[in-house]
Amino acid sequence: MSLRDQYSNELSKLMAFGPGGAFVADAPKAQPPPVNGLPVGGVSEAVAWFLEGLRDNLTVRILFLVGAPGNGKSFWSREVAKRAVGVGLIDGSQDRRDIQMRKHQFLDTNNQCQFELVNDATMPSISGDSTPTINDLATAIQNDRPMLVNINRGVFYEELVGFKSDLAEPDQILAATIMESLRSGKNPELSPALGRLTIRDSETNPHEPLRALRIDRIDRKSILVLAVQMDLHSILAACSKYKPDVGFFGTPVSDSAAPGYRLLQPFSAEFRDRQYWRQTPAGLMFDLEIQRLAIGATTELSDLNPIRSNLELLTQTEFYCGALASLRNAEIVSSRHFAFRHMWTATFYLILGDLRQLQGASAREVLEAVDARASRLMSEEDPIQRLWEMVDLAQLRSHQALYGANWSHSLAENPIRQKQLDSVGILGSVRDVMKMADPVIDNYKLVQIADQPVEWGQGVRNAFLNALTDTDASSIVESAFRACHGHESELRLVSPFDRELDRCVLAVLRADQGESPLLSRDVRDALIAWYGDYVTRMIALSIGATAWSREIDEFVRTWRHATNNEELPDKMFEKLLSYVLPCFEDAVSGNQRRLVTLLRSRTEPIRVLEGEQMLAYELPRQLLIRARVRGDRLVAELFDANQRHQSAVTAGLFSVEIDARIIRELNVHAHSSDSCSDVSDSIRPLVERYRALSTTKLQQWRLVTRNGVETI
Amino acid sequence: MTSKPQTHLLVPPFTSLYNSPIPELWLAALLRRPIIGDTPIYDLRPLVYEMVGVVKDVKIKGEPRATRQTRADGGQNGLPMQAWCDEVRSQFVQRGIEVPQPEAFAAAIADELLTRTETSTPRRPVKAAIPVTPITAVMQNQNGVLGAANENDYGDAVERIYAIGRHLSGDPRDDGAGRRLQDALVARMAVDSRMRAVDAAQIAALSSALGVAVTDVQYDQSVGQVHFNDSTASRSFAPLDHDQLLVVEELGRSGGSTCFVWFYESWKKLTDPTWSRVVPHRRWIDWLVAVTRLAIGSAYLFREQWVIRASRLVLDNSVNELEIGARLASECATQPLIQWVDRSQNSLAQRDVYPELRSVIRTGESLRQLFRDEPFNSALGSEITVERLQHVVRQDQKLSEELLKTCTSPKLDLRNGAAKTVYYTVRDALVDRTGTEAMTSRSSEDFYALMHTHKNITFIDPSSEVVALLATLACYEPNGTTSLGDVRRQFQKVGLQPSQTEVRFLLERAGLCRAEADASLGVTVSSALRVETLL
Repeated sequence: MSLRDQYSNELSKLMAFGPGGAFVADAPKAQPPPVNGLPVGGVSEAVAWFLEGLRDNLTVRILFLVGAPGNGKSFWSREVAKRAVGVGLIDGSQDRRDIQMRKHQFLDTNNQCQFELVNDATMPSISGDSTPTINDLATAIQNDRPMLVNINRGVFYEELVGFKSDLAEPDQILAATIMESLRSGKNPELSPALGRLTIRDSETNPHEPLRALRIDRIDRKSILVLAVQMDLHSILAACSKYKPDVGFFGTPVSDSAAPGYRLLQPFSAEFRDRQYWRQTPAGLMFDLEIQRLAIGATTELSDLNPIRSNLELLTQTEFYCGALASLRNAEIVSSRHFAFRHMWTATFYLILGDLRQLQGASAREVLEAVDARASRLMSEEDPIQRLWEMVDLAQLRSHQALYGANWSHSLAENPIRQKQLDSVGILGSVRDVMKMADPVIDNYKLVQIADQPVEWGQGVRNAFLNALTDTDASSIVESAFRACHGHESELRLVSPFDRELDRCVLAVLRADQGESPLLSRDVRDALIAWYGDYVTRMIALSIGATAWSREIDEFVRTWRHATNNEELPDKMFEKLLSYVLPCFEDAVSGNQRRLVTLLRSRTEPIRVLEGEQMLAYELPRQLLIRARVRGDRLVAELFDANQRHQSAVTAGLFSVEIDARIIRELNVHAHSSDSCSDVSDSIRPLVERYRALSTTKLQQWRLVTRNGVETI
Repeated sequence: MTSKPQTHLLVPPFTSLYNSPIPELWLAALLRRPIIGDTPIYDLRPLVYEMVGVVKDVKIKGEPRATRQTRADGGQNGLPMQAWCDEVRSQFVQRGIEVPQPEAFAAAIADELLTRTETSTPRRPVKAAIPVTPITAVMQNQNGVLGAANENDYGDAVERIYAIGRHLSGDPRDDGAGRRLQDALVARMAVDSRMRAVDAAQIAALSSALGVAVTDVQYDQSVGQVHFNDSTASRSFAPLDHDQLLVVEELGRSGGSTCFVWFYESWKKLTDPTWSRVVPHRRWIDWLVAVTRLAIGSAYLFREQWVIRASRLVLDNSVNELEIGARLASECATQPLIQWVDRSQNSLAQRDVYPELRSVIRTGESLRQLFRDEPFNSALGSEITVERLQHVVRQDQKLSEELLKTCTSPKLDLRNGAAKTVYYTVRDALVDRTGTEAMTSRSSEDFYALMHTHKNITFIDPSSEVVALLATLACYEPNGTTSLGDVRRQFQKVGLQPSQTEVRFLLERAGLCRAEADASLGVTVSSALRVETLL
């Protein structure tokens, strides 16, 4: 096999993880991925706990791996299957030819089933019943048999909705109760005849991804249930360990202390440290994959091949860390977590770029097609043809592909091609998330990187425009890099492909200033805009900058504060209150009154003009906010301070989920000019609705006039 | 020998067709005509009102209609501000409540009682009073607000929708939607002396300042209850007759849930003290209006879809006489009233529902007219059932051709006749009432519209408060939680079938749920009234 064939084979493994690839869905019998990341918090310990339980004669252990597709549940199923086979068990389904199966049974040498593994609870059962997981669980309980279930939250819901308790057997009721308890986190009522159910209070450590419960039954083995929430923590955050709290299950407590889950600020020193990212599940996987594929890139791919540029730059710490930081920022902006499956897709985009044009092609065909086009560039003499070819190939560059930046500006030039591109497929979920964090959205000027102010956003744009108009400037991209980083050494981050693209763009634009324009005015403007975005995204990726970086930074600081103190930072508290419940200054007393309109559908802040009057009610002066975190979520609950000891229903006014969007809304409202951006007006005023719903205990009305506030 | 099942060809829940773009008037009309069961016990004589205040002015035979402005603004025909102010002060003082600036306070009340949502009508933009108290509700009517010649009984339509929903739910007869509303409103008033004072002031100010006796409404100040006299009952709510019940029975047997059931369940929830006392007062009224809007709009569409689907089944030779009724009921209970095209993969033009609305209403009304006219009228006789239609159409090729022709090329146009009235009713109920263009920077003040318009495109895009309302109604308790699946079921009951992605988008936009990648229909959704508890 030639070197090129070998390289194609290696690349094909990555392509198999791309959108629609053969390896996208994992299974115990499927091929392992080319590289592994770190286990997400708690899962390896939980799996060890489950495997230990196979030898336990006093209890039945049931393990749920809960999470969205692609979070690694089936990966761990394969690990369990491998270890079970290692101790002499036989996969009872080994004769079956299909890889994707709902359930596997592991048998001992006497053909007795020792445990069951439900790999995909979303698949229908062979019998076609509507609650297959409940039934599988009931059978395991009936036979005192351990069980591992890979499940997502939707299955919990659908099966519990479809479950008819009046027609069910006692073990089915017990199984449904277990699932309901895991779903809600509450201790449901259980008939004493079925046993006594205890669920561990999950408030002790809100970041712990393990949820445990036990059922003690009369004259039968106790059932120990452990559920791992595979997606509670970001796979782009440093991995924490969580041991199952075996003390809860009645055996001595082992070392369960675990480092806390942390959020980091954008541009923090750790984000620029390769070692930090290697401690994250996604970072390690990405690093290994880059290393695996970068080895052959230099020898096998031509200089102007954008895929080679991608690989070479991603081996540089700046781009490697910047790409991962951008993904993490996008998670916070979108309030979503990437699964490993998404991470493979992102890796695919970062290395192979946007290959929608070549969808369905093999790795070898892709390599040859891209390389052939890159080689042809060398001999292309027509500057316009050369430019468009470069622009087309530029879609394969990491920063363009990751944010789904297509050549929309050339729509007028080449509408047919654009139509073809659009018809190929819908943007995937990774793209949807990344588009929200596209660095060209914001125009912040300065950011602090390692305590140094870095010209970013508008600074890059300015450098770009200066270089464009300065006839002495030899390179636009270098000027922009210099403006951002401030020193020449970072010019090593400009790849040969980008230098060539820069030359092509500059040549056409400069030639265009003459009497015989090469491009029409519209196309020229579109090209400048496109290239400006291109350079901005490239530099953003090198420093890990995305849109919304101010809001992300503020969110992380707020989240950290809430984690430590269960309250919001003072500044945020003030901003939230002044927005949600703005004060009205009583002209007579000069006091600030917290008023809400009495009989209006929406509750605009109280403002009255001369000669006007309105009715309002007044909220308590003393309000408290309790901030609570779980994973990346942060919820602020507003309370009447005088009723703080009462329940949330009686003392609570309302609660607001704090995220980057809300923070932007608050900042825009607070007229903080540096927080305003060109997308601010697209933020819908969610907070305003909360204000309208504050169900105060109505006591007295207030008459509000320009002259003051009167109590009625 | 058992009789053959019969299914009525038409869904006639409404005695006649009405058109009013002011949903507050529907609620006011409903409040004026409480009933017990399906039998009227009392009603008010038609009152001619405009804006806020209370006025009694009955059209006397042979004399021109007199319309009084009842808004306290000092107008020549309206309620003098001074009289209003005096009564407000008097009523509040009687209850031991000091009023520091009576003029400003009285003006504030008069101002607050007027809705801020301006409704676009063909003649002029109008505002109605928000029926926040029983008296405010009965102070206005269609004649006064719109200047219309005839008073339409919207309450009748709402009561019928409620009665059908109740019947389908298998619940025993109750006092009707109007009575439930009145009881709930009075219960709220009982614990709010200030609102009671406002009510009493309205009655007294009108009686004294305008010199008319308010005889239809008595106000028991000691217990804060409003009594409506039954001596002037003049309008009847015809009970659901046998034919109508044939429709209802089939729907009930098919087990499907319809907009009728949705309205009945929602109304029961919102007027239950457990719910009505937790929702802020103004929001509670808005929610009642919104529920009524959705019910009216969807019930009219249901009415048209019923006759269209019945006709298509009649023309389908593979459907036999014994199963046609059940097939029809099943289709109507499970198929959407109108297609909801997902926003994520479609352009605005692809989401345009106007062509479908137009087609459904034109075809439905054309078919109804066809059955009223000859030769169908004679052929059907008094037996206006789907089975009878199927029988006569299969006997007579000419009738079959005529029916097919009407199905495929409806005669009626939206510009005239019943089709026009139905279209405007559906539009007024479901589309942004302010007429604000969805894509303009100016945001609409109609927070309860199901559809919006942009140029000549009408598309489904529920305002955030509609989503908040449906999500809250999907909860078992007012401040509870529910799931995305249950919220989607609420939409389905109304007769809409949005995709899971669409519902999730709407809920996220309204701030009611948080993305959970794997939860599918199990995504946890908070009630709009919920104080979040995270763990």
